Amino acid sequence: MNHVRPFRLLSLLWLSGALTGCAHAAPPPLPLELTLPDVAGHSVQPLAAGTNRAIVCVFLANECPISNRAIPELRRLQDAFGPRGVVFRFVHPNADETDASVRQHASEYALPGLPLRDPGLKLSHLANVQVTPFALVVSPTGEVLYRGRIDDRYAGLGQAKPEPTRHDLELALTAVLHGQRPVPAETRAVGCHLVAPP
Amino acid sequence: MKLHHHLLRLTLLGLLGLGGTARAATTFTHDVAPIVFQHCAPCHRPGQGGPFPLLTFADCRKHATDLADVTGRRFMPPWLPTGPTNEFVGDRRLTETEIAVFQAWLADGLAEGDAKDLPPLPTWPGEWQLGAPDVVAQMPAAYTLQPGGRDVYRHFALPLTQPLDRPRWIRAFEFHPGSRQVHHAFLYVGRTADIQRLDAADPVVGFGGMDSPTEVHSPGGYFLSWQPGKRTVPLPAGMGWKLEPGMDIVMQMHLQTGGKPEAIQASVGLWFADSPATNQPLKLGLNVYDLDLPAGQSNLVYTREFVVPADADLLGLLPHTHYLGRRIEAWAELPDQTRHDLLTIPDWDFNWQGDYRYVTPVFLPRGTKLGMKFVFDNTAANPRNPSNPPRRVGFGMSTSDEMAEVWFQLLPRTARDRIALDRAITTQTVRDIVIYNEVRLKANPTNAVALVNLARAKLGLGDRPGAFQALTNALALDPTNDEGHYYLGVIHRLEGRPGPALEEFQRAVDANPAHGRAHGNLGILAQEQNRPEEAAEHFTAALLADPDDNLARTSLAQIRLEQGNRPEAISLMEEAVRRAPTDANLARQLKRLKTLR
Repeated sequence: MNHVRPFRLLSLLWLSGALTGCAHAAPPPLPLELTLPDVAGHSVQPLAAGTNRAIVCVFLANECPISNRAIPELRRLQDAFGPRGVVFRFVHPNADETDASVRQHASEYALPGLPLRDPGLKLSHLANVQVTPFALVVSPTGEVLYRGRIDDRYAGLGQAKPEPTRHDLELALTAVLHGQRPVPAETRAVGCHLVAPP
Repeated sequence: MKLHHHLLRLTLLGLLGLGGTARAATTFTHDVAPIVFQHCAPCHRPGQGGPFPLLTFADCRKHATDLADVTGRRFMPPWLPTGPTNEFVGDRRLTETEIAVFQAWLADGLAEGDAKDLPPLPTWPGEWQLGAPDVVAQMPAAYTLQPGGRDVYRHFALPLTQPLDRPRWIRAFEFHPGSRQVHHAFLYVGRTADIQRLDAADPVVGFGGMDSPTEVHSPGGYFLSWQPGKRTVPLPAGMGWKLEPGMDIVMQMHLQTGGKPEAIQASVGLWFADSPATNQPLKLGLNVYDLDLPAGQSNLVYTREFVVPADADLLGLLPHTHYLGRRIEAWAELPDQTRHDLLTIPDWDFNWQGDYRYVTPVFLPRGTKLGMKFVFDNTAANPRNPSNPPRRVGFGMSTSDEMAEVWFQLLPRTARDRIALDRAITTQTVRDIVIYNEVRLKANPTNAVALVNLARAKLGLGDRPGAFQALTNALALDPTNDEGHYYLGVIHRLEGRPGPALEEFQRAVDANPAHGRAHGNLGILAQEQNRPEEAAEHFTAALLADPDDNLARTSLAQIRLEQGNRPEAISLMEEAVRRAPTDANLARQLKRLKTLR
């Protein structure tokens, strides 16, 4: 693996940002060394990409119907993009959930792998995640390339289309795999607010 | 009751605040719990429709931001109509004061409050809201709703767990979906044999989709809908919808797909009235069939009116549209030209559709004009627009088409009022069938079924030449259409051409050996042409197809009597009387038959 590549990618992205004259500075990259526990008690670095091309962190909640409704799409995307170097991390940030209840949920919803927890909403706050479901597409250098909704089914609570017409997360991942920035880089996520620790 | 006390207290506290004392912080036990227990907990508790419980401080604290959000935008509790509160049974709306409590609780730091202030949790009835039902109808096997994809509309047979021994009038029903993925449902009835056939024809549990098969229908005069949280409220004395032996329940359900497979095995509880219903309402459906919603246009308005030709009480309404309908209005313009707003829904949500029953029925004096208005939005700004980019949409039953429909449930005041109203509704229905099928034919001129339906309607309106032409065209397109041959036979018979009539009825039964009415007509023609044995065969076939065909039954009885088979004639007449107990003529004929030597 050519260790120079991430630097070149980063500088290219920074340059393109400057050329388009972004109105505001890009948020700082997320810390690659951040660790989160999974629901079996292991410590995981969710943002460490290794040889992968991107990380998708999806924030979910056991009891949120909007979050649960997104799961078939997430499994579809995992099947489609996993083999192409995209790693999916499912994060359950809500403080009221337990490892056991999250494991149970993952089993019922056929979500592969072990979901992660986010004690103290550490990652959620760093990434400004406010609702579930919420998706982050993160580059190997920790840059957030896309943040927001998984698709456009919900324009708001009680405002749902019968089917999504724009699969935003899929479009974002496709762009990233083509070496492009997702446009838009951010969409408004609709869902259930996170449950903070008391 | 308790809530009023609390509000009074809040007001008093507020008044005290004028003296300079700080307003007491909003707490869960004192301020939030009374509202949540009354308005939220009925659904937000285990076994009910809500996705999570709202029964405790911990529950509400977890969801506090969402509670303030969904109540503030009036998404929850779910209730689409605006207008005066408690006009309709089960009005769930919060007052502005109550909504403000959730906001204040959030602002004040989500305190629990004093334990002594906590009201008791309501006691909800056990399994059934009215106690044990008189009979339960149940899906014998579960349907598995697969995750992902579009929502599913499907009919499910719910056979009665105990057969009826006589006709019953149902004063209340309660639907137990067995799953919170059931988003709403409509109750239909049909003949057991028909329902079994439909169910068996589809290998997966249930049958049909958005369009109901003709074999199932709403009980006359009633629309029976269900949404989560629906309260079981019995009909007033004297009212009830009829369920007969040999009939079963069918529930058409809207199933919202979720993230995992879901087993759906629903049941319905039914409660009988003590005596046959005496007050039978009529349903009036106002529809707009020529909807044309161009892409990118909003504020597309469609209206329809109907003059009520008799004194009647409006008992309830059922509005319906799909995803592009935004605003719905219904009103009554009284004969003195005052306008009475009946229903206003400013922001329609397809997922929360249902019927609205008046607490106090609205009297509509003869000459009242009922009106409805739908406003459609086919722009990208409509958050529920199924198409991106928007595309042109017309009328249709599927959710990729649109509808504009309001059903009015009317109870005529007198028997004479009933006759007048029934006639007016029937005429309008038949005219609508013409319009509806003309719209279908415009979209697809080779639709033979639409041509036959058009013909039947034209026949009903007295337009025999028009009906004849439509039937000829239909049969040219599809020579195997049994109904087409049948109605052509009817026209030939009406116009005194028994030969061609016989040919057409024969073609009808050739195409469909179970065409009861064609057999019935063949029986009558055979009788007229002095072929009693052949007539008897046809009447027997007619009865097999439709056990309710008393004309075939009495005709067969007549033949058996003439053939010297008096016992069978009596048996048939007894069955006829049993099926039509209020037909004095039949009763007289039976009596006469029994006293013959």
